Amino acid sequence: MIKPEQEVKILQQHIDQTFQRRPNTIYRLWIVRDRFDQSVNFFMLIQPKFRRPHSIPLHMVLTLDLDIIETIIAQIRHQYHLTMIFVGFEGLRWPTSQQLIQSHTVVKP
Amino acid sequence: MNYAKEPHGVFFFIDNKSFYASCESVVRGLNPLKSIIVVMSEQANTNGGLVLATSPMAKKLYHITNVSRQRDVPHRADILVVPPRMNLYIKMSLKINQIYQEYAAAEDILPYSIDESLLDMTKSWRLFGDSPEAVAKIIQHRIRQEMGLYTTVGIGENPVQAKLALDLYAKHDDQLVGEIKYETVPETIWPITNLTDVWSIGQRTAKRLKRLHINTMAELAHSNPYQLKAEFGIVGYQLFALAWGIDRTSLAEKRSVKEPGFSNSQVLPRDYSKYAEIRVVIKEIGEQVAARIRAHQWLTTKISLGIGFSYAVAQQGERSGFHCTKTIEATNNSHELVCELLSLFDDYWNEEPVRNIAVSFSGLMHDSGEQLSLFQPVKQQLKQTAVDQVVDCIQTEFGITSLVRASSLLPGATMINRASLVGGHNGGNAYD
Repeated sequence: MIKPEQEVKILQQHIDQTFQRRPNTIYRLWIVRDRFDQSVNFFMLIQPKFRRPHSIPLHMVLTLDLDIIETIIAQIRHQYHLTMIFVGFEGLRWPTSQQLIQSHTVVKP
Repeated sequence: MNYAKEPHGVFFFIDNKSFYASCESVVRGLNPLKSIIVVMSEQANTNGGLVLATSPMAKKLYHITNVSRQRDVPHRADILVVPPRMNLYIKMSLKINQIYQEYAAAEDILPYSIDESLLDMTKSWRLFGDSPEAVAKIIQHRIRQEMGLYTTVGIGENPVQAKLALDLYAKHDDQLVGEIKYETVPETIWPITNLTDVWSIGQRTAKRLKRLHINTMAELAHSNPYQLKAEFGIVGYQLFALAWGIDRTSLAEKRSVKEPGFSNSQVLPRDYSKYAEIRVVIKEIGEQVAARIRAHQWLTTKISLGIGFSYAVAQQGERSGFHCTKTIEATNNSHELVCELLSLFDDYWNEEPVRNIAVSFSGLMHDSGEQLSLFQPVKQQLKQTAVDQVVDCIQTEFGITSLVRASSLLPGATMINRASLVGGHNGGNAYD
């Protein structure tokens, strides 16, 4: 049984380690709906100016249940205000607001 | 050549295309063939960063090869650098091999490496398709659908044909499938002029073959096998068979290991010149290997220590390192083994800077009872055994770093930093 509070706690720990707020660096959250592993994977995309971007794995939430994912993401969004890139959520909507999760195709998996 | 008496089976050698980079692409929702991903280990011993794997696109567009250094990777915004996660790759590899087990019996599957497996499909391929090639495509499709990974398949009538078909043809084929049969050996294997492209022929073997005026596989096939035997020993016959696409291996036949042993080695994060620092690492590795033989209930009678010198010393000096072996009384006691290793080190080391350390224990005997020595107090010997047992229990239960020697906190010690590594690289558990 996935408990959103626990997942948020782990994510917070890992975000705090990687989100170092360096100057001239873009930090984004890369959130992937992984249909192969039936999980939602979180990555921190760190892009320093004129340098290669790094993608650091943060956590894997082992469910595709959008109610749980929405709760987790709402808390993370509220705390960090990081730009979020959603991948693999084409055509899906958030259960509460009914807004499209992924407004356009970022990449074709 | 009369192939009538040779085994005519159906073997698949299946390889996962750019495995580590593909796994990282899939979990990020990216297509493994289109993404530009570089898996880079940034451990202390990699001198700023070592490329472990690159996606096919990174190879094609930027010519980044495996084992490149961090400095060789261009600073471009479209190259995504990711840390390795060995546990993820092991998990994916096990899952893929489970899929293979639906197409061949477990004893007919040989995992050759983390991303390559050999399948003996002789008995089962007819259950799944009209031809071996059709079955190969079914397996490829299944892995693509269930795991998102691309695989290349070499098909042959024996394992070596399948391996050569994989390396020489499947990897360059649009459908990612290659096939070699006995009757196609002259047109598939013999035209190869670069001998090192062929599995089992390395730079040194190629050089020795060149000395015998053998520069192509066709020349190897038409050489005198007795001359090859005289030059290479039994390997000469193997090379001759390779050129004719002959391999009589049976996967189901179990082979016993000639001399089993346990070993650990590591590349140090920098050159170590201080005597005390090198000794700390030898002690740590020695204790690790000792714990492993105790866990498998063995005693060792032969210990080996391998030391590799720093690159600069190896380049200018007469020797690049040393390797020494000593026969000892059967034991698995950490203290005794470490003392023997350190005395070997003291005997052979002449203050050269060290970069690699390897320890191995062989000449194994079953640990069926303890042979007490007449030259040490019995109480002391029993106490040493009890200490090892307690340490093993605690480390097994709570992890290797739950109980470490104070010396592992000294400068130069590597054990604590390496505890979370898998195969010398980041295991990735910290991200779970």
